[in-house]
Amino acid sequence: MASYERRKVTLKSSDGEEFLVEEAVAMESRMIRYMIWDGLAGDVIELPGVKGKFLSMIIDFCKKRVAWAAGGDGTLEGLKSDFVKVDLGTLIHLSAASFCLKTNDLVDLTSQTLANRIQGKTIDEICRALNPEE
Amino acid sequence: MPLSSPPPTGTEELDDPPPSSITQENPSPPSPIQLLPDDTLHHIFSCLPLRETLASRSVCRHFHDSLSSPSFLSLLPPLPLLALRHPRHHHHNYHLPPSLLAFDPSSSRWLRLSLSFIPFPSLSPVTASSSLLYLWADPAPSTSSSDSKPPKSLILCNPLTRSYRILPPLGSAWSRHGTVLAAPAIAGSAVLVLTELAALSYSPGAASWRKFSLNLPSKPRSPVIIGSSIFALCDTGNPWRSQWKLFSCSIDDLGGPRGWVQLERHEWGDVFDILKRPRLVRGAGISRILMIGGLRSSFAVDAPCSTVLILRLDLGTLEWEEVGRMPPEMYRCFAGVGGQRGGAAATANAVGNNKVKVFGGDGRVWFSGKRVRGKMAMWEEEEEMEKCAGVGGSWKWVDGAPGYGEVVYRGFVFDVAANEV
Repeated sequence: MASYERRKVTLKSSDGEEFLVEEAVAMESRMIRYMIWDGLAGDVIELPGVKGKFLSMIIDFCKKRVAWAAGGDGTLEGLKSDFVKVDLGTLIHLSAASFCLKTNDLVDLTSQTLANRIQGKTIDEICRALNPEE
Repeated sequence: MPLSSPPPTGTEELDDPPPSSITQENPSPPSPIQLLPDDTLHHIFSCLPLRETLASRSVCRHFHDSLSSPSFLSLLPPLPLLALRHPRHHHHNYHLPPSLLAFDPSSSRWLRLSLSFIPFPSLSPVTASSSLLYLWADPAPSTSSSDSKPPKSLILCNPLTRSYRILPPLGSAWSRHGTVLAAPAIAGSAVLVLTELAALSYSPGAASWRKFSLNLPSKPRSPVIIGSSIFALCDTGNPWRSQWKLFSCSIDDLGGPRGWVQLERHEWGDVFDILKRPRLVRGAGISRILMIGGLRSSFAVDAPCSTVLILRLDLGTLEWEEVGRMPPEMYRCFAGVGGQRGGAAATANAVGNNKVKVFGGDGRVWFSGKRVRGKMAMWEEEEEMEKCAGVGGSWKWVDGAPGYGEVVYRGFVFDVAANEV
């Protein structure tokens, strides 16, 4: 199958990092998708609510997800569980970023992962569970 | 991240506002979790039972404010609890903040919900209608000794939303001798106080209580509200032998011409005669009633009981079935050692002599007794009734609240939810 030029777009994080991604990957974020559909997106989309470090991780997940949906290897469950294998501080930032970008799969995934850390615990244990490890 | 002070061992202090030290400037950087916006927090906590929301409100000020949002709270499913009444001869400790002590069967934890939002010095929880809690309120203790008994007020409140309403005052005799029943919203959220001969009724928005004569053949026993009707047992027998019958009355018909109707079916046979001192408890759903009592070993008046039996009446089909029987080893704890040997009538008739308290609703029944201090037995209705080995439902022991003392527990079901008062 001959490859052809797919449209690409640049995503710019709050701390100035730029990521060139395929439009299909960027549109995993509903926020970006509606901007593109409404014709409000230029070549560079600024995302002041998301830092580069976390934007990079989310873009990485979206790339893998798009590849998997097109018949790639692995399972979606595997992709998701890999995404949340991070320390608590990162998980929280990823949760906030997913909300900002409206990547619904990741919103549900990060929320559920954080909820699992809280479930069944006493107040004291919740305090400890929500404090990032030193 | 600043920590709230650890709760007393065993009982979880829920919903206390975080210590004031947390609201001051804190040199250490805030934990990332505190940077999450409200809607993210709400999304996380909407995946969790309500208990976790209540507990997390004590973690820090940010959580406390975010998780108190009315629109968020109204999304959460209710948390069914068993709330405790004060033990008899309870002495109010005016130095302790008023609170409601309750058991959460889903997490097997004792919880304490703050009632400090109600401006009365001493509060006595009495009953609930789903998520609305009713308490008797004493006026402040008078320093001068007087023999006049001040009027008491029933207070209706929701500890989750911290809203409350004070009902018109009643003579203190009603609070000493009356049974308070709270009707659900479909019955107009009425409140009733029943005594041997009369009933008081209050509807939201009314200026005062209305009084009705009960017109029952005898003192109503174990009245419960199911749907929009009251159900009660009455003794239609004689002083030598009780003959219990089941009566019902629509709340709207109280004091009216139609009044109480006796429920009876020929097929019921001697269903009332096999139980000693039966009690009624509301069943799961809106059309079931449970009748619980000591299972007589014979029809002799003073026959000892072999165990506790739970029968269920389906109000739609008007058919009884057995749904639970207390396991023998559990019953022995209530009856006292030697109860099975048919020895002294006092030990054999533990249930019959009212030494066992029975309370509950919505598919769970709890049992407490003088011989079973510091714990309760809990029966839970099961979806598929397997009639095997004559036990039925699931039975287990529940340890009492830590530090509560060796008292006999009395309680009522209460669902924590965000309904407005």
